[in-house]
Amino acid sequence: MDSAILFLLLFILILLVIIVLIYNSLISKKNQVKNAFSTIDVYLKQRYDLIPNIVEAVKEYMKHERHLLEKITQIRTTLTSGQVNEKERFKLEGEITNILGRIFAIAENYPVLKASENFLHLQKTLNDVEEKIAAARRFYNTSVTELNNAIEMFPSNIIAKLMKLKKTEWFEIPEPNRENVYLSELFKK
Amino acid sequence: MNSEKGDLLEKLEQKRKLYFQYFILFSLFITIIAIPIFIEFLKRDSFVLIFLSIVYIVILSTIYIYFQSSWTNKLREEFIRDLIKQNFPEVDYYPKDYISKKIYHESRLFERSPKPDRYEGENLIIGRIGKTKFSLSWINVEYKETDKDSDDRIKNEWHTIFKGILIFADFNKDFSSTTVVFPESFIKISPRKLERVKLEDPLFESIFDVYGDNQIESRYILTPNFMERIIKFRQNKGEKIRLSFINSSIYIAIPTNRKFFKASSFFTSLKDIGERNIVSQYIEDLKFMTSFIEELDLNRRIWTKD
Repeated sequence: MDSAILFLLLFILILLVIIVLIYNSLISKKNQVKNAFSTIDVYLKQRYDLIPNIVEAVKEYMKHERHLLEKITQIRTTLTSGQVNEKERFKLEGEITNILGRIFAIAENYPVLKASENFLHLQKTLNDVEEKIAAARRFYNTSVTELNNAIEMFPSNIIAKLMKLKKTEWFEIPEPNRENVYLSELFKK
Repeated sequence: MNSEKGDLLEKLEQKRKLYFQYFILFSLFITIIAIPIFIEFLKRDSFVLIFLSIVYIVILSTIYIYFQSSWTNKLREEFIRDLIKQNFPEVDYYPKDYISKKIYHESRLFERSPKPDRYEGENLIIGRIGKTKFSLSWINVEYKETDKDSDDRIKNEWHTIFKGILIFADFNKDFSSTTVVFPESFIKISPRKLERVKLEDPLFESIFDVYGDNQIESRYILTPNFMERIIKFRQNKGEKIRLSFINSSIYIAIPTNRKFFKASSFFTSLKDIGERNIVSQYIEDLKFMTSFIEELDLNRRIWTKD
């Protein structure tokens, strides 16, 4: 009888340890997603700061592409106002990536602009920021996958349900313009 | 090949002949001394005769090794150095030197291996190709295992930790973190203060284990494009390559048994080998050592680092 109680206690103890471990792992995964997102946010804000400088540097040359410059300025204003939800934000950020890609592709047609030191510096800084955004986005998506897997897989799904954890969206770049993501590719030409 | 190279080879050929003549002279001298001693012991003691024959062979081999090593050094100092300068004007070559032990440790590539007891090397190449500053050399790193045999005598056994090319170069991006890329192993133990970095590329993940202290900077370095390049680099240089990225620098270890800038025997005439063969063999060695810059595209400076 005594040994039966001992086994039961031991079983409960092991179960408790497992629950605590799963709980902690879910919390750490959730926090990792949060941290990864805040890092993307830092780099995205660095990119917001670059946009006015880029627009200023190219506007004299790109009179026929004024609509692009207006659009990017408008998106930037919307994003910095902070009045968009996560899903919309990801979409708008993707658009910024694409428009910037197009601006730099068009700039290839203006040799004077291309040779300007200010423009070259902006281009390098933007390449750096884009690559950092891409890195942070990849880490964010990895973290989201790990969290979503934990939310769906047994037995962590039971605890996740009790914790009211919900699946998180990936930060994806819109499919049709994916080839423009890496601005650095332009240099290959 | 230009006539300048031809002239240089002609001069070296003269020196080779000199080494050859000296060797023959020394060997003759030793043989002349040896013959009466051999005759003396021929009828008396066969054991002593065997012993003396071994001594005679050892002396001759030592003289050969001495002349061969002097000849190798001469060829490297005069011909290889010139060849490297001609291909890469901003690069220097030091045949007897090697990359420092400090860099070996800083690379963190062999942290899991035992502490080295023997560290040697040769063929140090230092300089700049395009925008990339680098230093590299062949090194041989070993550790000693001491054991006692059945008669209680101490026995030393040497084991190789690394034998091959170690490269230390300037990376084309700025970062302040540490990322190490090891060949994939079944047991994943993180090196000190580093954690596992799981990357999305399934092929890369299946052949490498990546550890780092900054998940985002590791991905900033290992972009999809760069991972592809590393995979190709591995195809060219061997499965056991290791890379690390520390404070804006890259360290690469390429294990290989290949001997670099090896001189032919001073018995063989350079003319018989042929100028073209000599040059192409050394150019191949040079390419093997320096191609990392092109293969990993390190001269591509499109980010803020110049």
